[in-house]
Amino acid sequence: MEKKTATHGFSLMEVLIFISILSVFFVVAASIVTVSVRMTKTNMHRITATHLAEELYEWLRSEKEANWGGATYAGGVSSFTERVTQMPPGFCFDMASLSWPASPGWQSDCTFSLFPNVNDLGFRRYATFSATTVGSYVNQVNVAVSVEWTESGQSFSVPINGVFSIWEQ
Amino acid sequence: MFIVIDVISFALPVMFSIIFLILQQQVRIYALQDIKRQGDSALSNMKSTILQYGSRIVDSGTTDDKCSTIINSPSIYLLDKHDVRFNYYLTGDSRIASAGANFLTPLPLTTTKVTVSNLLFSCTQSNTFSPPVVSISFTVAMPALGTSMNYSTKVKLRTY
Repeated sequence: MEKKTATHGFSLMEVLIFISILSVFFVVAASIVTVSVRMTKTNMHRITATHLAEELYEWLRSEKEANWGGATYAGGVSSFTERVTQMPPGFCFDMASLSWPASPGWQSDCTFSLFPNVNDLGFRRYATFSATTVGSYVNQVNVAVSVEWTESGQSFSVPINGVFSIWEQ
Repeated sequence: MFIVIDVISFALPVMFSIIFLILQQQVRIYALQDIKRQGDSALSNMKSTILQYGSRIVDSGTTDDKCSTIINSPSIYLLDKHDVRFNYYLTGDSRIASAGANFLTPLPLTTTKVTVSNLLFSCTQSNTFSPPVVSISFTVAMPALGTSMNYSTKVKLRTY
């Protein structure tokens, strides 16, 4: 006599429910991972941008330390104060190495360029200056450094503001 | 049963690769943070100490002023206002270290987790009686992750 053995398996409905739950789980997980990876990347770019802004601010402070000058721009640029009192009142700085650009420029004309550590997007760094004078002598210079970048259609910026004045005063 | 096994055999590798991707990103961000933290700290330490205590730039053996001879030097020797000597240099394991007459052992300013290279000091003086301006520059990197940051500053000696 033939013996009937009971087989245990999943019905089609059970499998469909299982796959549906798993799909929902994966969709949610994928969106969380996408947001997380994007935020991590943004944070990495923010750290890099902060360093670029601080590097420029420190370099400008060094330039001020090395050769303050004191006179406003009158056709020649031999000192820090003469350079920063030119018009337009700002400079667009290179990403790879720091040196004074040949001439000042407007922030809107400053282009985005790649930074060696970050190969997937461009940054631009710009410094704006405004000088306070006492008579014809530059007493202090207000500096506003900003590093900007765009990712996922969103603009980000790291600003650093400070005041430079000659310490002998 | 086979469908369940298929789904799991597809899901597990996907999950592990996602976890790996997230961890890799975390490692990179940690490395970047560490490079920045150590670079900032070393620069700030050297800058504030030289600014606060540096009185004269000398060489390793004498107490004569040597500002004009320090051009892209890998180390620098300074005297404070009591003529106590201190210096900064790059160690064999690529760390910035500070040593001085008052120190029992050299004080490392960075750890071995990061590699410091191109530590260079220069000194300029616009005229004989003006205070020396010390330029410091170095690069902090984690070669395994291909990440590096450049640091540079200039310090004008206040107690000259």
